[in-house]
Formats: sequence, C-alpha cells, structure tokens
Amino acid sequence: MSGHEIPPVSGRRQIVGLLIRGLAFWGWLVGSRRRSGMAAEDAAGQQPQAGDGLVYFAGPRKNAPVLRSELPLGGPQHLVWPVAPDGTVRSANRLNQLLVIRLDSAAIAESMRPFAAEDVLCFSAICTHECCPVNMWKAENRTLYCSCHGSEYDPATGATVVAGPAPRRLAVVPLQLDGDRLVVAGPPVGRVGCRKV
Amino acid sequence: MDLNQGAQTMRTSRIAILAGLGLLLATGAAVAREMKSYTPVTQERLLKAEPQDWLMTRGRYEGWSYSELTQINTSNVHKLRPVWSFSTGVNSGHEAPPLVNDGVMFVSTPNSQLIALDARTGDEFWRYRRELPEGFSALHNTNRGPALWGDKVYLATLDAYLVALDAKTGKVVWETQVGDWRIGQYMTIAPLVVNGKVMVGISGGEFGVRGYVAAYDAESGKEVWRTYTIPEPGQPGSETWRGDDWKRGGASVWMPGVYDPVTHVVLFGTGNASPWFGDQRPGDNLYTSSTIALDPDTGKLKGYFQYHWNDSWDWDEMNAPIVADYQYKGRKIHGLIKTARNGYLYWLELNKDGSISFVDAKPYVQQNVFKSIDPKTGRPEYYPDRVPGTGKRAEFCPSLWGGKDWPFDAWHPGLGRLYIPANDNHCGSLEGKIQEYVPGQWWTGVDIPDIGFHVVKGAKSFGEIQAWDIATGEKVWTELYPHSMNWGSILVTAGNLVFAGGTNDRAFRAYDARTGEQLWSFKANSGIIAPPSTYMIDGVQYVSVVAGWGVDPQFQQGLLSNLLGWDKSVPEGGVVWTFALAD
Ligand code: FES
Repeated sequence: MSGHEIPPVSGRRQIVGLLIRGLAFWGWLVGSRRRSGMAAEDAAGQQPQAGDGLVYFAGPRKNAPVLRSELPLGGPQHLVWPVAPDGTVRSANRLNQLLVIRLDSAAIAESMRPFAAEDVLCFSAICTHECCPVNMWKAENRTLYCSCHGSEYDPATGATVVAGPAPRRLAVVPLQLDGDRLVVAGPPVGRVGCRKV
Repeated sequence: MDLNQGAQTMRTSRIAILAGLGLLLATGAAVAREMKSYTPVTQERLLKAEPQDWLMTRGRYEGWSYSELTQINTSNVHKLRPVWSFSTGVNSGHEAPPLVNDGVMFVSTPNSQLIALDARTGDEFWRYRRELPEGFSALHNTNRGPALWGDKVYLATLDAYLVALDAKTGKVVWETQVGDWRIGQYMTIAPLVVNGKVMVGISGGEFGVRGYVAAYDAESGKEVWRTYTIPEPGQPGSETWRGDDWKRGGASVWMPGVYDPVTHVVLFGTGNASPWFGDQRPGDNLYTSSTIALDPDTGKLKGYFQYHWNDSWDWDEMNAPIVADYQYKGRKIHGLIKTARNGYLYWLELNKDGSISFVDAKPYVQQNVFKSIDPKTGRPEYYPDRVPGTGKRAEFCPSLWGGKDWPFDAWHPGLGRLYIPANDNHCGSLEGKIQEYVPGQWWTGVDIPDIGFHVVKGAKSFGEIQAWDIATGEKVWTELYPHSMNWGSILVTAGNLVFAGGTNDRAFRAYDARTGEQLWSFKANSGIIAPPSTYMIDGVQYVSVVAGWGVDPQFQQGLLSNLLGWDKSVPEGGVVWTFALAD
C-alpha cells in the first residue's frame, strides 16, 4: 500500500466520510491485530476513532484537551493521546500515541488538506522503522524526527520519509474542529506501527 | 521500579508463560535438525577457557578477547577462506560474537533472537524468537550475546526479561522479568555467569533509569541479589547526589561484566549520569561512569573507580576493564586495563579486598576536557569551558561516542600488548535544557537534532587500531582508516594475529600483532561491528564473525556522510561468516 489514498471527490465532509467507510476494513484489520495483544479490549486500548478528542501526553497541560489556537505555528509537534467521548484516554496501547502539528496552511500539500483541521495535521507518533516515538523536531529541516535512528518525516507532505531508515510514511489521522478543539474525524489512514526484524 | 510491583508482574507473567507454553511447543522454533549431544558448561570449564571453545563474549572471564590457538598464524593467514556462511534473516546492528561450545555455535541477533548452529556446517539446530510486546520499541535493538551454563543458554531480552533456554532444543525453561520496558529499562547485555549465578544489568541511560546489576539462580530463575549502581540516601556515596536526583541518575549497565577468580569479584562498567548535564545533578554522582567491583555471591560492593565525576559528555564507561597481571614501569601489578570512552587509557590495581587503586592514565586520542589528572587518585580536573551545561554550549573532543565506544579491546599476554579499536578527530558540542521527565521517554536534557558533531579540520584519518605496550605505556603501532570510523571489537591470538572488522567498507582484516602489517582481508556482505571469535573442531581452527551493520555506527555514518561525503548506505543484513585455512 502506498501512502494515503484520497478518493477523487470534493468537499471535505464527503471525503472524510468516504475515507472512513472505505478504510473501515483496513481500520478493522489494524484494530483486530492490535486488539490481540494484552492491550485491553476496552476503550483505553482501542485505536482512535471519529469523535475522539485529543489530550496532551505531557507538559504543563498534560491530559488537557488540545486546542488549535494554542499550538505553535510551524512546529514543533506535540505528542497527544486520543480520548473517547466518555473521557477514557486511549493510552493502554502505545501504538495509539499521536502527534499534532500546526503548519502554515499554504505549506500543506494539496493531498493532505482533507485530513487537516484548518492548519493542523495529526499523525501516528509511532515510527514505521522500529516503533520508537517520533518525539523530536528538526527545526533546520522542518521535519518530525525519530529519536532512535534519525528518521525524518515531512509533515507538510503527509509525513513522507525524507531521511533515515523508516520504510514508509506515518499513518495520518483525519481531524476536524469543534470550535477551537481538535477532534478525530476517522480512524488512522495508513499502517500504524512498524515492521520488526 | 517499584519492586513489589515488579514481583507481581513477574508472577503474572510466569503464569502466562506456563499457559502459553503449550502453544509455544506447537508453533515455536522450527527445529531444523536435532542436536544429538551437548557438553554442559561448568565453572571449571569457564575458568579454564580452553581454546577449542569460545564460551563467553570476550573469550574468558578476564575479558582478554584472546585465544591461545596458533594453527592460523602470521605465516599462513593469507590462506584463510570462508568455509560457510549463514544468514540470520535479521537487519540492523549485530553486536554479538558467535559463542562455541564443543562444536555448537550460538548467535544472538537484534530484537532478541537466538540461533543455535552446527559450528562445522552452519546448519541450524533451532532458533528462539522473542515475541516483543505490542508497541514495544528500544533505542538500541541489539544484543551483545548469550551466556552458557550447564545445559542452558541465557538471553537478556530487549523487553527486560532474562530467558533460560534448553541448549539442545531452544525451548524456554524459565523466564524472569528483570526490569520494566515501559519506563525505559531494556537489556542488550550479555549475561555473566559465575558459580551458577546469572548476572545482568539494565540499559536506559537516556530515559532516566537508576541502573543496577542483578543476579539470578541459573536453575530456577529466582533473583538472588540486586545492587543498584547509584546509592540511596544513607548509603556510602549518597553524599555525591543532591536531593532526589539519584532516583533517575542513570549509571545503566549495558555491557557484560568480567570476573577475577583471584580476588573473586565481578567487575561491571556503568553508563552516563542522567540527564546528560552535570549542572542538573550537582555532585560527583557515584557510581556513574565507573567500574564497580561486586561480590558475585552477594552483590556487595567491594570497590569502584570513577573515571570522570559529574559526567556532562555522555561518556558512559560501560565496558568492564581487562583483568591481567602485568608489569608497569617496573612494578608487578594484579590489575585492570581500561580503555575509557573519555579518551584516556587507565592502568589500575585490583587489590585483594576488591578495592581499586589508580596507577596511571594517558590520553590515547585527542582529549581537550581534562586539564590534569591527580596522580594519586586519578580524579580529573576539567577545563570549565569544555563542560556543557544547561543553557551553556560547550565543544569537546572526543564526541559523545568517545575515543572508544563499546567495542572490545584485546589483551595479548605473551606480547604484553593491548589492542584498541579507537576513533580520533571527532568532537561534539552540547547545550542542555530542562526536559520534563515522562516515564519511558527520552530524558537527557537535549534533543538529538540539537546534538553537535564535527570532525577536526584537515584530519587525515578517523578510525584506528592502536597497539600499546602496557609495561612501558607506549603506543607501538597504529593502523589508520582515512575513510571510516572503527566500530570493530578486536580478537588477538597466540598466532600473533589481530582480527577486526569495524569499518564502513565491510572489510574483515587480519594484522600482524607485532608490527601492525595487514596480512589478509575479506569483504563481507555488510559492515562488521560484532566481535570475532575463534575455536577448534576436529583439529581445525576456525574464525567466525557476524556481519550486520546498524545502530550507532549507522547513525554516525549518516552524520559523516553529511560532513565528509562518505557513502551513507552501508549494506545491512546479518550473516555469520566462518573461516578456516584452505588446504
Ligand atoms: S525507530 Fe524511528 S528511526 Fe528507527
């Protein structure tokens, strides 16, 4: 599978809807694979899904909802967890870790616009190389940087790999806005996780 | 780690293991061929270290990486040819030597796999694959080798378990949780076994762990003792820490220990203090960047030597020193030789009670941090502008990878020479910031993209092999690599041969140990960063090494590619190569 495939229809809502349906099978596949581990059958272990909010993973606003306007424009990214509508933080499975980044909207590739909440994009924070968290920012290249072996992903083009050993881009999580609050619009598109060995 | 919680998890996991065992037997390691017999490994055999075997990582308890075999020697090494190879099927950095016990070879790979091979043919007996937890990741996915005792093989896994396998079948006999990967503890170490106690240490110096060495009963897997490498309040050494800093102070233990049968102590090296910037944890920070001497029966600390206090350069001193009787400037010493990551070579005395005394130290690469070293204690004084701090950038040489990183140096007792895989002409610069501690997350005080690395202007070479005459303290020859760093552990033999890989051109080489003349070389499939080993079967001497480039050398190669235009891509892929003399 190559990249994030976008059906050729216009209108963001429709696209997201289609994506959700079209990728439901993929989502189910990923989900069932992920549910097989010890990571809880319950909400805390389930992958992000439409309607989930996002909360900060660390920092002074840990566990607080992520608001678009407070994200620094142009990076760096922030690590976040999806949170179910009932308030359950989906942190039981580390593969659920996400990152959000706010970019200059003009810099966001056309193909990525349907996934963005205005100028904010959300990706799986799990490096496709060996599953380390993509938790650093390389300012000089404007890339998401993996601390384990230096893979770099360009967020503006859909977290495509621009350096390092990662074999594929990060999965993208479609976002929408509820006022200023960031909300997940559908399950991750693309493969979450890494290939061991 | 909360010990009670750990014990709880351990019990639960044991139950899970028992439940899963049936499944494992049904679906587990595909048995390629049956191992008909296996010679148990005893304390006596480990002490003797007979040259036909290679029973532990560095060949013998004292950590010499030396073999008494002479069939392959300076006069015939040009006839060395590969006799078989075996693909591990694993990418990334292979850092374990092939262990050989009476014709059976054990090779561990990244991501905690262990393969048993027929050392004569390279045919597989069995393979153990660790099923790592969902979502698991480790900064270094590598492994430094298994350990042998009795009829079992022991592997320290990335998810911080110690696993005992039946050497004949590869089936799990027991497994015990040592640490908690979710808080950044993981294991790459090769265990050390003394008198039926299997000793391991924990990695995680970049994640705010508090390091320790723990010993497990070889038969039952029960923990016998655990000694933290950082004292808690009230213990000796605790006065070198401020407040609660000790709780996340680092001093991880990620390279195998050595054992001195004379004083009956085991020696382990400890890693960097954490976070990386000394001003965030004022004090000497014992026992970070140190060698510690422990009683293998009880874990009691008998002695230590700290190479540099209040580390601020990420200079782990993780390698245990070499234990040897040597002369130094006319004095007979039962001592230690330690090629430190900080760029100095140390002569130390190991006293009868296990305490360690300083004898001498000399820089073996360009080092611009130490202003002086106290001739009595070995304590260095630093140039203040070479000490990075929080909000204070400092440049220093060597870089954080040190004059020598983890690859093993080797001791030739007959020649009285030490062989060092060194790296010179590279420097670093660091500036710290305060990072929030989040369990299991990077916590060094600096993000990797902000770590400065450069090479000395006009430098003509980088990687080196250095040969030192230990009695005189003089360097006797140097091999220089103009286009590569050196990440190759050294094997030296009584045939007066030095074997080493370690360069980015995939070469495996043999040198004359006396002169440094290169006598032979072979291009492997991938860069070689694993230690070579040698052994004898049916009267034939073999040399084996695993090729498989990855981890830090790969990352560093990327930086050097940007700085010097070196080829970024060194091919990957684990392959065991075995060589013998052509007829
Ligand atoms: S795990 Fe991210 S680069 Fe290797």
